[in-house]
Amino acid sequence: MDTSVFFQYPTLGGGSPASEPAPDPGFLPHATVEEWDAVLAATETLRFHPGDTVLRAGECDRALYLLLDGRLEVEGGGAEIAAPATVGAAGFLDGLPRAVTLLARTHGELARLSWDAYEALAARDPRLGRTVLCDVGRGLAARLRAAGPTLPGWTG
Amino acid sequence: MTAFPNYTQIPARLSVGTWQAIRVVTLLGAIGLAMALVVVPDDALDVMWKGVIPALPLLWLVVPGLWRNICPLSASNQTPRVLGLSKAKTAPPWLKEYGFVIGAGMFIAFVSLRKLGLDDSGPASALLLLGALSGAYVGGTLLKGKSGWCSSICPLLPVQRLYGQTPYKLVANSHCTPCVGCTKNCYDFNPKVAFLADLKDPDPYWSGYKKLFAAAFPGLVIGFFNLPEARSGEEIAALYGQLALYLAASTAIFYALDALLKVSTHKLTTLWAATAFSLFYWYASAPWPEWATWGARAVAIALAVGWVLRTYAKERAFDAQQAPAPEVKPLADLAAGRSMASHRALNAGAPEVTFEPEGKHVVAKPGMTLLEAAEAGGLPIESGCRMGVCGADPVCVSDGMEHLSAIGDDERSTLDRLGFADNTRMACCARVQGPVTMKLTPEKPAKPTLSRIAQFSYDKSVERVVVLGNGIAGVTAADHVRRRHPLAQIDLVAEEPHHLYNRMGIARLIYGRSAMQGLYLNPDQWYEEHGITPWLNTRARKLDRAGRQVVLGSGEALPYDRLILATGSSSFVPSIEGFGVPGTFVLRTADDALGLRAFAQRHGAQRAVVAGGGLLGLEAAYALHKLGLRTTVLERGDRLLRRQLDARASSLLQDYLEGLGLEIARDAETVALSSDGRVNLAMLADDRMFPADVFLLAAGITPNIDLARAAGLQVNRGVLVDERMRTSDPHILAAGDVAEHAGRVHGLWPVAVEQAEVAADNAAGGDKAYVGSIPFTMLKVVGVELTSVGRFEEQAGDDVVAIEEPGGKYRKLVVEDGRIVGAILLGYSQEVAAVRTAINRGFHVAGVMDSLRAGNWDVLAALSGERPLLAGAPTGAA
Repeated sequence: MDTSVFFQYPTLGGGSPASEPAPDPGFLPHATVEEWDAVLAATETLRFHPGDTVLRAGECDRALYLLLDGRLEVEGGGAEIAAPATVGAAGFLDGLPRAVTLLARTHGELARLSWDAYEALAARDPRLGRTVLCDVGRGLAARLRAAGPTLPGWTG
Repeated sequence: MTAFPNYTQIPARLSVGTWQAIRVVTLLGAIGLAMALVVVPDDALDVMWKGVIPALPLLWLVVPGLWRNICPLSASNQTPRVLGLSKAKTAPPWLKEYGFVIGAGMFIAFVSLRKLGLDDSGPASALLLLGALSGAYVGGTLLKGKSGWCSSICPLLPVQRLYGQTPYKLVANSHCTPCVGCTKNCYDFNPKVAFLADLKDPDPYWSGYKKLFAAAFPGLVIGFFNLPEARSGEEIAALYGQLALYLAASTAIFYALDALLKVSTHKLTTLWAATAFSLFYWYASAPWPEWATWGARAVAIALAVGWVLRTYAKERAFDAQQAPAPEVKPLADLAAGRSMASHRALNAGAPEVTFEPEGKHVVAKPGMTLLEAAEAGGLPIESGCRMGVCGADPVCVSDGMEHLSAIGDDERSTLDRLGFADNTRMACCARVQGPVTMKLTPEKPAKPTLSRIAQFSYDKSVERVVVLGNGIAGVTAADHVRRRHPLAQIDLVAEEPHHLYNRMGIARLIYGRSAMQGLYLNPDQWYEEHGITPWLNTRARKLDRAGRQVVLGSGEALPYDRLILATGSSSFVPSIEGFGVPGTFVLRTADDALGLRAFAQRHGAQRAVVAGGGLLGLEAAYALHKLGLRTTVLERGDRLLRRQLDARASSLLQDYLEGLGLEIARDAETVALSSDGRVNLAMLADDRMFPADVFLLAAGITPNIDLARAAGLQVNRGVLVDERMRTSDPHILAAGDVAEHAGRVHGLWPVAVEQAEVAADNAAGGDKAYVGSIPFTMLKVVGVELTSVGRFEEQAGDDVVAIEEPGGKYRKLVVEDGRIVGAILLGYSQEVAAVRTAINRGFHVAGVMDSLRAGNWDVLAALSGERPLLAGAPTGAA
């Protein structure tokens, strides 16, 4: 049973979420198979194995990850993230170093959408690019809303 | 309020300051108690063992948050954090896994010690108290949050988690401001869920530790109160034997019921916890007056029953809240699920490229190079020509060398120049055909090895060779003279203050943060190991042909027997009124790029105009776009890249670049710039105007021939050379951008390398001829995989294959007399090597034209041996 929803630790350093959303059914919920194919074609696939460091705190890696299979854990006893989920949305948007380290708990697979690949995707299909960006933003907004009371200056 | 509020959602009734004041009091109280245990042990022992300790279970059951906030051990643990003294490290994995087990073990040990006299010894009790305070402090000094004690190895934590799971009164955690996410299923974060989450954790070990402790707990309570005290060795042995039996019996009954009863494990742990609580006060109150004993027992049982009912009800709410967990959405029925499934199936058999020490595993797409794999994984790797010539991306292949494509001539030559260990490959050339493990940093050979040209008879009369210019032509020439001539003194004179660097990567200096780091192309010791004397930041002022010496700007003179001119080229600057004011740039050297970046930042530039729609102009425009400037490209002609692309490909490229956010203006000739101390406007011949905080001119190159002309060498656009790269002076040769051969100045890296090798061979006493080069260019803008080779515009009598596909993809072959003489590949990176090889080697393709027209260009791969990896190829990867 996934209980991580009860332990969405609000902050690590700079006020960003300590953990990425658990399975994110909200990402591109209305996209067609063709649009999903286009998004996935713009990604590169990374595999991981138990104990691997999948993302490293402090690393500059402007990319959004789609967790296709397997489970990850925020280092330090944080939330567990199970596929399907989006990972690393904040770094994807602002290009700043990663806030947390993610460890692999199982074997699994990630699709990595780099910012450059996203730009290329959006250049070729601006509508899909806008949809992707809006959905990434919507996911982050949901996280901010959940952590709202703890964020200085939060206005919703 | 939610049924399971986290601590940020529980109203805080006291300020953090008030809590801290209370903690100071409790911490001092604990220290005072420890002192009293030594000074007045009888009274202090009563306070500790008959007052404080018996009250704790009640506190933990009714209002556990109060204890979590005022516990002196917790106060000690959090002191370093409050004072900013904590190193705040992440707890090691073993502590995260076994912290609870360690705490539970210590709890049982300390309880049993009470039967050995701990209760009666003031100093021993003081030692226990002070030891716990110290341990908590050290834990807080080392580890972040509460992971060093309170939420890991505190001996009281197992009981607190068990009893405190359904508080009668919630009190918000006042320690963690902010939460640092230090602990899994943190009690202080969400007290009503922590124990339930532990029990229902998917990791059976994690839940097992908690279950085991709960199962044994009533046995510990019964054993403690019923077993006699022990002093002698025999008594102690008996005590522990009997205590073990109590624990075993309690545990056995629990697990038997767990197996037999169709109730959740949580119901049993709740029942066991309530039993332990009731038993504790049943026994603990026995010495009290009879009315107090029965009163305490009644209250304890009532509280326990109420707690059980509330805990059971909470479990139902927990399960109900878990039911609509995000995972339950049937993704397999959605577009995402179907697309993901096919994506994963496609990759199922593909090999992995494993990067050490990062531990990343990138799935190789068919035909993917190691460079592309590194970029796919977001690893920091440099790139340059992407064809194995420049030497920007040497990598170490730790394992799986046999699973890479063969080494070609260009790559071999570059590997020889760099001189790394045998397990080195140029990442841009090595195509993945099976599992590979690699490192981004190449290894040095056990001892330096210099590449030599076997059986080359060098001219012993050539004792001194001077090379002017340390670009790729100059360095290649110096390297190849050394490969042929072990004794010659070689001087390499460079105007720039840098050793050979990746000139094709300088656009990245505009938007990248790492300045020159990673841009140098030769290892640090390369010049010394090759016996080449570099003269950096040194200008050659004059060629004294009669005296066979080069006069330097410093006044020194370098005599030569052979001189190789590799002075390269400069940016061509047409007449534009106002060019030269601050904010106007060319892009030829690293310093140009660094200067542009600095200017843009210093003046907060927002608009950039790039004059020139060639390769350099587009790469520079993209770099400025990435720097955050709104960028316009002005192209004089009617299309972009007119020397590399036909009209259709150029149109597709323009669409893509505009989609990226670049503005493209064609038929746009800049005639003047206006300024107000800095450039602010670019004005065109047709009166169009474009605002510009930065104006970058990329109008091509002009060879640096001033020295040669002044020395009386024959020059035209460049220094004229014959097929042996000799100038009109037989002692002077020229190569690269400065050389004009057969009426052409190429300005391309691969050509410069070929010419430099020929010049070096002839300078050292050989007789090698330059046979000409087929132009080969690539555009290095993200998302554009664009290659142009040879003659891409068809002429009368040519066969043409032109295929356009969705997504802006376009490929074209021009075939003359059965041989491919030119190609355009837009969006087809995998075909590049095969097409290039087919052109360079002049393969006959008349027999495969139908396949080519049908889009099956694998026939070229088969001809050239550059067979792309088939999807789903078998792999040994796990």
